[in-house]
Amino acid sequence: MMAGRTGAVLLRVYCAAVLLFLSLPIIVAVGVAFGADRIARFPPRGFSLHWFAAALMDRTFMGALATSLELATLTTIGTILVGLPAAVALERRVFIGSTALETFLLSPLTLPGVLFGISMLFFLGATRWGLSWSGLLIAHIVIALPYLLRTTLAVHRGLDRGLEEAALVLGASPWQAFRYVTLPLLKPGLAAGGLFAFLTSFDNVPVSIFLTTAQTNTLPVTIMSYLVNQDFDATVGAISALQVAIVLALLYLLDRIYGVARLTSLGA
Amino acid sequence: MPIIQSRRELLQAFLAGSASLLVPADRAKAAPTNIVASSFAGVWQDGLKAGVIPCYKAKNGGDVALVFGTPSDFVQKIMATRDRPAIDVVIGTDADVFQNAQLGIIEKLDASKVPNLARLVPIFTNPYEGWAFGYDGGRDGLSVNTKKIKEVPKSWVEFTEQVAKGRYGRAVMYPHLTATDGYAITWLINRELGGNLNNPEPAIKRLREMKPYITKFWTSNAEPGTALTSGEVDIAAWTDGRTFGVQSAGHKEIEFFLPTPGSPMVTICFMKVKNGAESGWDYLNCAADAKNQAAWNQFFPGYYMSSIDNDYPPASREKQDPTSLDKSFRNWILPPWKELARVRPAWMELWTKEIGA
Amino acid sequence: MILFLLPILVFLLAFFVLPFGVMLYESMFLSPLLAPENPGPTLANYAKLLGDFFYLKIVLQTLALGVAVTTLALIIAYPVAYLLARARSRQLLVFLIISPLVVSVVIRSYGWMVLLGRAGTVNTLLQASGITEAPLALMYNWFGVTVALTHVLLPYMILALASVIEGIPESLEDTAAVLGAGAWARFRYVLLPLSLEGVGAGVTLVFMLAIGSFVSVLLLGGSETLILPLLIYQQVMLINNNFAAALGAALLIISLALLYVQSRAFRTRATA
Repeated sequence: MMAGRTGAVLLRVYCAAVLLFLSLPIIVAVGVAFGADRIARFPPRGFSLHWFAAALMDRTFMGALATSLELATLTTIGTILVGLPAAVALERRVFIGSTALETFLLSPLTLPGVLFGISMLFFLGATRWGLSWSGLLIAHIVIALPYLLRTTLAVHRGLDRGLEEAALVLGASPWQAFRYVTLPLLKPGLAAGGLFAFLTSFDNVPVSIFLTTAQTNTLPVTIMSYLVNQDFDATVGAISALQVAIVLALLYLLDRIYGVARLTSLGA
Repeated sequence: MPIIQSRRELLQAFLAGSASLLVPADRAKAAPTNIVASSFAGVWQDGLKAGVIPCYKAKNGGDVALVFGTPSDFVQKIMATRDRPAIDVVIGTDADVFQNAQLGIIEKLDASKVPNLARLVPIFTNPYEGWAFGYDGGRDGLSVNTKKIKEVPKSWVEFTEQVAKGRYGRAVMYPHLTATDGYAITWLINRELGGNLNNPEPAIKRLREMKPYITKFWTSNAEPGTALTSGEVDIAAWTDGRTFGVQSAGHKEIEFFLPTPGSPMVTICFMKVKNGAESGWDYLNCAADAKNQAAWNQFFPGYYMSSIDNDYPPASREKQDPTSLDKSFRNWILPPWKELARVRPAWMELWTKEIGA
Repeated sequence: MILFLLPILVFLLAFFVLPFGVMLYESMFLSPLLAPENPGPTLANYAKLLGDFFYLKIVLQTLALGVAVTTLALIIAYPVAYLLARARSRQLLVFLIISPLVVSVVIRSYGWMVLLGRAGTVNTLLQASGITEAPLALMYNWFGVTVALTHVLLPYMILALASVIEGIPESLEDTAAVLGAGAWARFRYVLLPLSLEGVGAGVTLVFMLAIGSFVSVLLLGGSETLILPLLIYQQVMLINNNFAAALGAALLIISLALLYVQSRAFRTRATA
């Protein structure tokens, strides 16, 4: 984009500033966990890993963390299973009124979480489905779907349809063409959408708070409830630090197993 | 939900009818039952696990599963699952009690099934007309950074006047009307300024004058603590127990003051959910028991518990209100919760339009 | 191909349209707290909404916030997305970019208080360097809400843009450079037109999220930052689900209209 060396340096400096803007509030808040004080204080006074020990031994928080991780993982898988075929179909053929259709498919994005949360709650109640793990999972898939659709559609639209046609002409079956040509091309959108799906579920309060049960207390809801009677303290900071570490580890694993960084680059 | 509700009621009657033919009521009650109770996460549930829950297990043989959240989502969950409620025993604030009664999701306490009710301090039962009992009492007052503010207002009215004059600068927190503490304090200030239930104008007018100096109308109880300790605000209308929590974490400069004429009585109430498990009564009786309350109180020193038989260790006594220790309760003011539940929507609408978010 | 669409259609009809449909039905009744003797179906909730200039003001405030946040996010995000799309090793970059989404909003808002508060880092620096004398009000107002929302929504914009920019062959830019196009010209005539789909995706996501979220606004806003989702949340807190549903219907209609216009606009431009 930038020709001169100065241009490239400027771009880097600018990006570094934006990255700082993005991560600084998180570093500050998570930094609280390393202090000696119980109530959040920044910069932390003293250094202590005591709060991590406290968090790790807290069965409620650990249980909630496990619940949230499982829920976010299943949400991601479910979202891809339901969303990917639709994204492919939408792009293959321009349906009459497909803009309207697309708008409809993205509509869960337009309803505030609280309202969808209570809608789902009363729906589960009225159908006698009741509050359950499956209800919570379904609700999370509904709110995660638009992210996946929007990012895969965007990438898909930018694709050169010619590549797929070329594969077909060269004798590939439609499945082969999809598997070896289209799917790899879709991967950046899938990766971005899948990541959003995971994070949307992992951090959700407005929908979850109406759908959790004693067996499915999620981490964000537990933190919210914790704060009804306690201050934002170092234990919550430590839990958040763990969340950060887990997502970092997941990205690393994803890269190792799946090779996101290399596979997603289409670079000629 | 008119149609669904009526259909549900039909179904409910049918189910109840057929059940009564099949199962003798007494046998259903005797069997160990696992129940669901609502709780707050953190030390609140630690406190329950220290006394109330073991008591239930010993008495009934069943277990207690705790669902975490905040009072309003507990209510929504029960409303959505009325005939097979997702929660058997629910906790809520004073403002929730008559609202829940009006919504038809709780039932009146049965003194014969909760014998410990008789041993509760009357101010923890009388205001609720049998729909609930209060568990722990906390006072609303002023939490002040004494390093910054030397002259603490003596009364609620003086507090509002000083804030409106800009005495403390823009470094004040006041609870939002959606928080029960906000509703209780605003009601009290309104009364002191000559207003009444149907006329919240005096308080709203004063709050408008205070608004330029109010950093934030807090909605989460966790906000004032961090704001006071980080120097964001110097004075906040908040609760005593939370202030003691901040102090015990090393912030000695934050002190609690009770303005005259006293604190509105604010407590967490226990309620029996309609159609909830019958053995919910056992759980309620355990919660009203002095010994179990004392076990809970160790996690919240400084809170006053509702059982008349409670004794408090010295560390807890020195933090408590003297008038609750001598059982005269002169510092406590009982807000008319029943009427407040009725006028809340109107107050809220006025607040939103005049004060804002 | 229709077959491919079936799962999602069934899924959304059953678990989105139907549940919200039930809620919409509720919006035609009064809250049981307001009218214990249920007087039957009524349009009172909608009449209240449409008959009061106050609610129109809130709708406009909501939209203005959405436009401000989306514009800021787009401008800030584009160069970062470009760098990300062209970077060889992305792991750390992606991690830093999504960091706002990893921790709970309560924790983020604490971070903002440390940075933007009265005695916060920014004010301390400003005062120490003599730029300002008294601390500036950087949070609990529209400024704080805009900063916090832009912060938490930037990751969506960056990733949506990057996933599309990635697909633009670098050789195109090189060719343009060889042909004498400067940096601006290459951006304006090569990158931007080819990344319009990404811009569309990012703008949609960020705008919808900006006008639909309330927790950041609740924690970092002040008394003047009243927006529609916050009002909906308050109604739900007060168990007036009926009026909340009517407000939600208003928000849904506005959002869907905007979404439709946006999809059409980007589709025509992309295929033109």
